[in-house]
Amino acid sequence: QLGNSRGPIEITADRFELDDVKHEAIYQGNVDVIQGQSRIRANKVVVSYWSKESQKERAAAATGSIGALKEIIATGEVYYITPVEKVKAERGVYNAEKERITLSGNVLVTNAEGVIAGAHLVIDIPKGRYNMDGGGLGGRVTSVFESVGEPPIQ
Amino acid sequence: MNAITQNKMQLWEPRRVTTLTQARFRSSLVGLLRMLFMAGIAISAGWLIGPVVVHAFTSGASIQENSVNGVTMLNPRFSGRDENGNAFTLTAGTAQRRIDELDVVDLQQPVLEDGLGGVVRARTGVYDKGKEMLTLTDNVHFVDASDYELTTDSAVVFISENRVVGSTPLRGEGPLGEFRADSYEVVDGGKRTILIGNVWTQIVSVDPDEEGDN
Repeated sequence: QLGNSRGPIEITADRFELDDVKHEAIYQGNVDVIQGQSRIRANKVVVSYWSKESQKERAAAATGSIGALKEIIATGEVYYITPVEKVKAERGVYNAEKERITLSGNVLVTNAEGVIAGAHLVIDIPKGRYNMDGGGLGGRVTSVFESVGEPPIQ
Repeated sequence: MNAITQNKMQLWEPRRVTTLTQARFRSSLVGLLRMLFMAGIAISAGWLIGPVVVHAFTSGASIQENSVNGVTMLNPRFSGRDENGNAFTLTAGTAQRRIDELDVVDLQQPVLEDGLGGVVRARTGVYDKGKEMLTLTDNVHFVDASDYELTTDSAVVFISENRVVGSTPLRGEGPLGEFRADSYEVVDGGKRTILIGNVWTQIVSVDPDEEGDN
């Protein structure tokens, strides 16, 4: 799941194309992906899903609902928004099996404590762990934390 | 001077047979007769041409009716192949061929099977054999080989290209989940579906692990 709640994933957009050969659903134009209280917004989102045949191979029973979701790739002004933080990036990939979101390209995390900037962020959703790096080649992670209550050190 | 020469003389003498009033009466009589004559011509012309003009206008409607009430076929079956060689079959409850457009048939309860496992049905339709085009209206319902179901109010099926276009809102359901949109196009025999305008989809993602527990 995208955040801490399961349930159906609702996606709205201006345009949608379903390619049943590649097993991809392509959304374009003001794309909004919502699951519970978590959300991904982007210009373009490609959802890929396992075909019925490959589901059987993966012993995933075809329960009449959707073939299991495989991956969601979001590009173009990507925002990943949860009740506690907002992450902006150029590209975001959600892997359904690993339940992991990877955001890259000028990543900026904003939450109540402050701001963290870097090149590459991996969010392990079940563990709630965030791993940000500068993207190598001398890239660095920078962060600003606000101290609450105590007066600033003179 | 004998009788013959007397007659000839008379021809040359000026005649004052009628008086001035008689002459005036005579010319007004002639004028009246001329008017009556002209009126008579107009009336007879109207009497001849009138029905033809009236018939031309009123017959249009009757021809319209006739064209729709052409030959009616019960349980008709049309078949053919699309451009990829896939056979298609079009059946209906009734089919009414139009008199003025022999290629066009008005259908009730049409059902089209596209040879790729796709079936589309509706309450009414118009099949244009020449253009290989089927226009479906009123409760149009699709099911395709990938288990996608789609419902809308109208659809135009380009049978030879195996392509469907619709500009009325649709809702549907399939392996990916549920979806709605303002307009749509189905191409490549159903392999690709394009939705445009206010697209809403709901994906019910089933976790493989969860399935294992069921």
